[in-house]
Amino acid sequence: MKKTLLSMAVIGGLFSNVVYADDISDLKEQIKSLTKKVKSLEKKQKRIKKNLGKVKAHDAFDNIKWDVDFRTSYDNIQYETKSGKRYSNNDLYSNRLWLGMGYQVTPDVIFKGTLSFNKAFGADNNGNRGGYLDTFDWVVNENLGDDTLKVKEAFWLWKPTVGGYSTQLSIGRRPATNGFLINLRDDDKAKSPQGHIINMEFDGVSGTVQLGDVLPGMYVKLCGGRGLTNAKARFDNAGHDYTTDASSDKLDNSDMVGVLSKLYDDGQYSAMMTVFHGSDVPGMRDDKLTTLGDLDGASLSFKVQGIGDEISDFLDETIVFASVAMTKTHTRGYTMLGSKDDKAGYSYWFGAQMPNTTGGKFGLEFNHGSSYWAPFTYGEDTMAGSKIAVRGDAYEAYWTQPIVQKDGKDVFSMQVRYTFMDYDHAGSNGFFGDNGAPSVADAVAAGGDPVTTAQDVRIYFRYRY
Amino acid sequence: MATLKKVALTAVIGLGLLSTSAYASADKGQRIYQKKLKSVCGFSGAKFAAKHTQDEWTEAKEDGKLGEVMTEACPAGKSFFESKKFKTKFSSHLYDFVNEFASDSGNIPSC
Repeated sequence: MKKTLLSMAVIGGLFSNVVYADDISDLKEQIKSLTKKVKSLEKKQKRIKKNLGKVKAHDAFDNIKWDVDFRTSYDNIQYETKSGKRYSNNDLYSNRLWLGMGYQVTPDVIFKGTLSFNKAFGADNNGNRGGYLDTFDWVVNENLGDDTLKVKEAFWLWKPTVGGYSTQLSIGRRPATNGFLINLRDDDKAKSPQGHIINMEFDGVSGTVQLGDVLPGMYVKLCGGRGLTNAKARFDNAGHDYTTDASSDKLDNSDMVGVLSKLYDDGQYSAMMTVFHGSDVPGMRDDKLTTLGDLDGASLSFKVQGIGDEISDFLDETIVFASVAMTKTHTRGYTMLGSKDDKAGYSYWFGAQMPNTTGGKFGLEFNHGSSYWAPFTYGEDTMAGSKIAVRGDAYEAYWTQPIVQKDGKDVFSMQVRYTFMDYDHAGSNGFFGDNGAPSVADAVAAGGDPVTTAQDVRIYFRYRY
Repeated sequence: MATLKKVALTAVIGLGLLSTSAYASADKGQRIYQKKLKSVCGFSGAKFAAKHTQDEWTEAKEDGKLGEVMTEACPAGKSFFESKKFKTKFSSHLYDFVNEFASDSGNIPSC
């Protein structure tokens, strides 16, 4: 019996080993087959991913890319004049829309543009606004107008490599507002010019050479623009369409040429300079806009973005800056800024921007201008007049607060800003003729009552993506 | 007006300046690249970002391999991408930057 049982156990064991061996063999075959399938699926997935990437890259670059920047502002403006009179607007509401466009058809050729409107709430039936200098080309998108979309910027860029150097050529309606340093208080990315001396729209050309091999971030940009064009209209009575009008009461072409350079930029320390010459600049003479002489200007600005090297988050995000600038008239016998003599003016400006506990930014700025200081900053985003152009002292504090963020961008934000301008002289922010003359006494003697202080409290809510 | 000015001034000046709640952003990432990597890698941030698609950068981040993939893109930056500061402080900003300007993002660099 025991022998039988033993035999049966041995046979059973041998039989089960055969069964398990078969199962294991099957399993091995299945695993082999599955592994083959997984490898094949992985290859297919890689191919699909690659093709999807190609489709995405193609679609990403075959159409105009739009971005939206829509801002609603409240301004409270107060002026006080030499005679002690006060003028104000306690509740000025406005809407501003920027529609940004970009099209990069190849890596070397880009089109960029901005359509814009900027208007006060509601209708303007009083006939105060929308005429003459209120719609001047240099500030047509910065002044309060109507809700017609206008072209603020439209230019192409061609970026060939020449002689081993990266270069850039660009022509069109320039990105000439909100430049270096003035962009901070407006929470914008800096555009082309130095905000201390040029901040207005114009049409022109620029050619840039990148010299990062000489100094980090260095480039030199040659710029030229035409601020005024003298040309007759279409269907001229005499058939001289678009010819130059040589009549003595017409403005001549007014051009500007200059060199702008980022002298250094390593991501923390940066320095920028501008030198320009403006010819046949306009100004008021006997209450009429007239061609006058020339104006030269120069500026030098420094910025430190991040104090020290990772000492703290606060210092990493702190920005400090300082800037100096000068302008000088060349009257060519005309009366410019109230004088037939060439007159030089200067300005200095410094400020800081710091992060705060709410994830926003807090800024303080101060600038001073001398009696004949005359920059081209008419397009500055200050409802009470360009603070940079102040012939006196300007103080400013602002708090910019992101409210909603996506992908690291401030989609919805707000700002509260207070600007105080103390004018020591008349004529700030004026053109280059009689209205730009600095003497308060002369202005009063001529029947005027120049502004001595101006204040602007602004609150805005802004959407952009 | 006096009350409004006081309120506005208080609102503007009265916020604490002592600490910051830092948030990731492409701009910060771009500055970090410019400050820490441009001279090391020898090419612009735009070129660095364009070495991969958005999906590839995102996958690297999700797999915890962002440092490795960035090292492949810029081998000279290996010590930076392996540093503690990269992992704890810089990686999120750099990711936002490379994602913004990846080869298929369609985003056009500012000029």
